[in-house]
Amino acid sequence: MSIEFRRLTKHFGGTHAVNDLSFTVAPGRVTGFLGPNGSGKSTSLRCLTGLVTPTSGEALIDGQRYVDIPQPSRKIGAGLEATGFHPGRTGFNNLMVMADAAGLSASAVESSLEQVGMTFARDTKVDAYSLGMKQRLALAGALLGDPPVLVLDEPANGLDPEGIAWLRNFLQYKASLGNTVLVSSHVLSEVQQTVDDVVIIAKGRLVKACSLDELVAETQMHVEVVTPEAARFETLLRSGLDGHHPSAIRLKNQHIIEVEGMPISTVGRIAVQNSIELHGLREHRTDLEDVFLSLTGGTA
Amino acid sequence: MIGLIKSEFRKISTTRMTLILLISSVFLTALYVTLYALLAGYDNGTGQTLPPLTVEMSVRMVYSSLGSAYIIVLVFGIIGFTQEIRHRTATLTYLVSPHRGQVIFAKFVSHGVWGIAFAVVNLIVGLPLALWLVNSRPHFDIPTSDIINVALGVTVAFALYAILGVAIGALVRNQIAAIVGALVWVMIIEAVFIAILPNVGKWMPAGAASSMMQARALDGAKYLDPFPGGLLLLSYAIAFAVIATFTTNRRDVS
Ligand SMILES: Nc1ncnc2c1ncn2[C@@H]1O[C@H](COP(=O)(O)OP(=O)(O)OP(=O)(O)O)[C@@H](O)[C@H]1O
Ligand SMILES: [Mg+2]
Repeated sequence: MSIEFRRLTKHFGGTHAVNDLSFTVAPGRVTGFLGPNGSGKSTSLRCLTGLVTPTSGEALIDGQRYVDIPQPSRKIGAGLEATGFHPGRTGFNNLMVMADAAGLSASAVESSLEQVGMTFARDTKVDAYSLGMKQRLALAGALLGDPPVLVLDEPANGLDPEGIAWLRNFLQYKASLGNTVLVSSHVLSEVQQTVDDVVIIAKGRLVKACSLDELVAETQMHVEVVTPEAARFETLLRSGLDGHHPSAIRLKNQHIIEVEGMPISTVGRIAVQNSIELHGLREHRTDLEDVFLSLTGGTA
Repeated sequence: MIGLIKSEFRKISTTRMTLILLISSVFLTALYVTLYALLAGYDNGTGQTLPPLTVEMSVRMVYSSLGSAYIIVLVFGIIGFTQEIRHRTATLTYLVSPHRGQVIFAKFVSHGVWGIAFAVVNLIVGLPLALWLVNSRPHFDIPTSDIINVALGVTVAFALYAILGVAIGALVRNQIAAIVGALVWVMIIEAVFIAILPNVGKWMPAGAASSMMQARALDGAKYLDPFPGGLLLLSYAIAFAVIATFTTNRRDVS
């Protein structure tokens, strides 16, 4: 079962949260839905699940709108909010309330709690849960109806490294069974080891939808320069040498510049000719996170 | 639909506030019944606060005060909806049941039934107390059927007030604003109308509820008869419910 966003647009008053967003999420793979804070991930997922009404366009699950699915819990499990539980109810009762409404039994609740390793806290009030425990409970809620489609908004938030590793295995296992798995995150590195495909958005617009491998292929060799005179050197590099100009220059911080599209020898020569004090000069492959940042306009 | 109603009942029974409100309502009822019974004929030196229990109106006031806790039932209904916003559980509720009209309907049913439960508990405590307080002193005898009708009126009024509360909660959504607004409305605005302009006040929800409890205004002005009063309160509940369902369907949950 696939998920399809078709020209989805959502405006909140003057805020253009999602703009003309189209992409498809394939079954049998884990898809990362990535974008910086405020880029419209949660809004898109809430449009998909009928919580927010799109201004125009639509989002479909297996060709159907969420509200048209007869028993949504059995088709799509959504974990959108780790904090959406009644603090005075136990974990078990919070899920039972959902199970009742979905026509599921207490055994579905027990089995979901089991799957996320929360059986030990079933009778503890959610008030006393840590953020990580609430995340697990939210995931348990999504799993209640054993749905073939999983949609999770920032599920790794609040999880410890062990929890993140567990979540990774769990999502990959679910996908390996042929399920459709869509997980959002605002940091690529968090899901880098989990996802097969990426959908990257910025300011509510699609920036890139491809496989992780294709994204990795975009990482480039660049020259990293460490110098106390970073600002002056950046200007010199921009003016180039003998008509050679770098394709991109990023000032990482006060002391580090990354130069793309210019051989390390040329960078060194410009430094020597202008008596720039160098503390480091080396070739380096761009981080995937940097590709993500440059795609989403996170750096200059 | 059965599942949804079951879910709403479970929400109510797994919320501690339910018990707190139920206990408060019993205290309030006992307090009002006792006050009306003891103040009747009591002279603090500047004249009688209320006529003695040998006067029909005073006896009727004791019995109609069995419904004093309707304000708490209103708050119970308000919380029944607004806690979904306050604790952000609305997201999960609507994920499981995307047809929000059905969710609200299930809340009306479950809270209406609980409103009846509130009435039963309050009557179990309040009615014997009222009978004892009245009968232990010289008093005017009102027909038993009238007392039964008051009890029925309290029961129906509580059910309708719980439903009204859910609807107000769905309209206002902010828990504090809804509760404060409702209390100001009931205790100040309606109270002023009933005291100063009873002919307008009797058409308001509290006026309608009072008519079902066969209350008498202090100046002796009469409310509607219980049956039309009940229909009026029912109309309020339905009107609010319809508007609340309509607005809830349109709102984004984010
Ligand atoms: N109910 C709302 N009313 C007004 N503006 C909203 C509402 N919900 C979201 N927005 C705005 O829409 C934009 C997108 O928000 P959204 O929560 O979808 O982003 P996000 O990608 O999930 O961000 P984050 O990584 O911080 O979770 C933001 O500018 C946000 O302020
Ligand atoms: Mg978000």
